[in-house]
Amino acid sequence: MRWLPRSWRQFWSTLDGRLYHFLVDVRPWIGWFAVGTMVFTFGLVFWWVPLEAVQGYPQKIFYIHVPSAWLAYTAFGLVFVASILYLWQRSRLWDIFARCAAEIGFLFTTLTLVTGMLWGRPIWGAFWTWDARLTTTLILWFIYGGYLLLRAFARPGADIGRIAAVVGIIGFLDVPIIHMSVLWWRTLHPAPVVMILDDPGGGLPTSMLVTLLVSLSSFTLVFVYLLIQRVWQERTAENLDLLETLLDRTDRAARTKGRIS
Amino acid sequence: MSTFAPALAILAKDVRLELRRVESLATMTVFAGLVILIFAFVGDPTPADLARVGPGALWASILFAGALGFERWFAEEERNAALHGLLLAPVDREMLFLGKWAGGTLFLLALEALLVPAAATLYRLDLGGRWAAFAALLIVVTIGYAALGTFFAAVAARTTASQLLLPVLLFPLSVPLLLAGIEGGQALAAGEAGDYRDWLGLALAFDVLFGTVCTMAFGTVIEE
Repeated sequence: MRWLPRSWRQFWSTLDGRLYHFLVDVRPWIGWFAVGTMVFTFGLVFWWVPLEAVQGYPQKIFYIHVPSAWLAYTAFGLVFVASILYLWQRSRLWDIFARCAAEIGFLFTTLTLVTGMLWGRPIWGAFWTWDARLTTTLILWFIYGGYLLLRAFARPGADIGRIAAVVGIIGFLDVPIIHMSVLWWRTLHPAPVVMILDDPGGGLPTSMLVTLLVSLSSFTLVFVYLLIQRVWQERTAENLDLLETLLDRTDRAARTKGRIS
Repeated sequence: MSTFAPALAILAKDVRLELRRVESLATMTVFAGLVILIFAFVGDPTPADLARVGPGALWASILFAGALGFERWFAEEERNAALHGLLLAPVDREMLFLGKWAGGTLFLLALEALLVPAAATLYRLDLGGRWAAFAALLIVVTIGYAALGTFFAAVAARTTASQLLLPVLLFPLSVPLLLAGIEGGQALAAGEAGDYRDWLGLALAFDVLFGTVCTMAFGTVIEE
């Protein structure tokens, strides 16, 4: 975006900080690094980590499923924070950021649901059970699907960023209540094996924990790469829109001028 | 009460409008009744099944009819740019929301007054005489649902597909209320007072949290 005139760069000042440019510049490196660690992760998952005694091969989905779920929740947390920041500072960056985080969160939630179902079929004997966590995740999927649809169906001229920010905040506030209500309703999902407070990582053998952490890092890299990429795309699209309106205006002004003289 | 005068004025206006055109509330009631009818076809229920499906059918019908109603009651303000008039009035945005929220609650309760006896008869629901406790649950859940519904009707009104989007946004967020209604009612029927109190408490907490948040955020959503 360096070809943009200086004054217009000033206009998008919040999206033109040094950090932003740095991230956009190193973006390909993050991408390739993500590919590398992902290949390494799959190497670990399929050749290094020992086969789980009871579940066998289906257990390997765990290394994809758990990082996806963590990142999905992280993404929705980012939507929440960015929405608050947008309402507070009204900077375009936070609006774009919230939207992109929601998209990627939606993607990772889908991945979580699909991998969970693939695991559930051989282990539980069914693709789906109405367990508390599964149900909460499905509801989450619907909430952020609705959030993205809301943005897609924005009435022309409506300040949809502001409205979406409110929805993003309310949606996130509702998640713990939804989870609690569904938890009271029923539960079947395997208990957490990693995030146990009195014994962090204690429920897992070391090799499995290492594989999980490597997998989490590579998924996080993919997540970060996608997020930067999407924010950059959205910002470029907005800049193009702005340029188009400007060109249109100067064009029209020039023509009117010509007619007068 | 004078601080709430603008909200009461909006409520009075909405009530007058609905009373002059009973058709719309009547149509909603018929629609909700049809949902109850459709649930009777689900899985060819025996009399024992009926009692199990009943509470779900009742709350589903309230949820669906409510979504239709909220969209309508808010669209009413969009006609003839009435909303612009309201926004121009020297009145806090919070008052506008409180008025619309109270109206939504009242209309939904009116609908439920017809719907609950019908569902109880058709699905042979037996609360063992604990009707007052059930009414309390019904009112608490309805207040919360009306808060979310009124708020998201305003949100959906800013899109080109408000009728389509309102249920999509509203239903996932209303799950705790739906569960409180169904499970709380069933706990009541089974005589489990502790479980009933838990669900009622959850619905109350929901009302307080989202009543406050929606009231506060309403201005952000409706302003141009």
